[in-house]
Amino acid sequence: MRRIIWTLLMTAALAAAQAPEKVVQKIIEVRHADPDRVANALRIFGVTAASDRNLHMVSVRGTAESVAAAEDAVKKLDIAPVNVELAVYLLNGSPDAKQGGDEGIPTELASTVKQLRTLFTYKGYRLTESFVLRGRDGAGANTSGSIPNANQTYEFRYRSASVSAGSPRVVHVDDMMLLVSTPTRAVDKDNQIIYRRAQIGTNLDAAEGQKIVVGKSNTNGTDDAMILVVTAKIVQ
Amino acid sequence: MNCQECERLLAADETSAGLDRHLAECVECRELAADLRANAEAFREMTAMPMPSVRGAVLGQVRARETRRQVARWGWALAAAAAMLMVFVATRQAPEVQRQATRSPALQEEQRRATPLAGSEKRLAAQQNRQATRSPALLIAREMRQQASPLAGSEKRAPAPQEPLKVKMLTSDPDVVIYWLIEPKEGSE
Repeated sequence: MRRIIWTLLMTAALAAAQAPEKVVQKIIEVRHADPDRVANALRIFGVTAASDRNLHMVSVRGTAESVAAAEDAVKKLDIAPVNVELAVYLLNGSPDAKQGGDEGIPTELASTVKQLRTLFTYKGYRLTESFVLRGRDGAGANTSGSIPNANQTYEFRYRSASVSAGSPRVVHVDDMMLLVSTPTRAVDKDNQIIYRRAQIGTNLDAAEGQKIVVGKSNTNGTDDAMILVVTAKIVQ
Repeated sequence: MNCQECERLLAADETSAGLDRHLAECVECRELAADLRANAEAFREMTAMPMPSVRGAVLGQVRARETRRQVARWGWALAAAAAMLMVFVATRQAPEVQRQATRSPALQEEQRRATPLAGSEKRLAAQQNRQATRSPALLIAREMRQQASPLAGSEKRAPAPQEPLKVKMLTSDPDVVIYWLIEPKEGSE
């Protein structure tokens, strides 16, 4: 009798050990990130994942352990996107002694102009335009307008501005371009006004708090310098 | 000589004194030899008839058809191999194109910065390297952006300028970073 009971107990223990793990299913809300991409990323946890962009959710199915791991991963992946705010200042450097001093330079650019003076022999610096451009992390942006008190138009754009991790965070601005157009008195064969164009095009890596200056001499057929000052701010 | 040895020699169309003696003595083997001679004569007559040429023509057509089938079979195999090769090449090149197209200009900038600024030759080499590593996709994208410029409608478009040289200036303020762009033809704009 004792042997029978012992055998039954062993059989029950083996059966319990071989029982399949319970499969659970869970719906997880994805507020910020792309649900499709999140669902793809979750598959490494051994769960089956489906996503719905309209409902902003992913559904996962797997063992309790793997679903819990997937849920933790969603919390890490579903973070609010940051915005990149570029403050752009367009300066003009002039070798003309008449200008003599600085004009309209904001206080936040005082240190920048001081550095420019140590490097270049321009007699005066003048703020011609400033604007703030905000875009999403990884996205591009553009703006255009007229330069006050000058018969000039400008166009500013960049292909993408992405924020790197680490401290301080750095904003990588790709394919930044500033175009300044000045009409001439000449016209082409179609009677269209011919514009003289000056441009600054480059890539920038701007750490938070830094002022990145990109300049160029002899613009618009003059001895003036076109100077672009860019500061990047990361907005949560 | 017995009958078996005789049949073997007759089948091999061989002659010997022993065979002749056996044929003279054995009626069955003599009849077999006569049948074999008759068959051989019949075959010789068939080769003189037009039949073999017809047969040859038919066989030629069969062989030609077989050859066409083989060519077609090999053609499909070659086409499949070519398609697989194209897919292979495309899959090998796609990540590379993608990588070049999406290669961060910031990364290029990092590489450019890694080149010491001292020495105009090194700067020029870095510039040439940068121009060489620029992907056509990027150039096309840039060209498309230029065409999409909202200012383009009323302006006479200048030819695409050459990439300027970018020089980093040393400043005493770490928060102020100054780059100066030097056009290949200064003041030409």
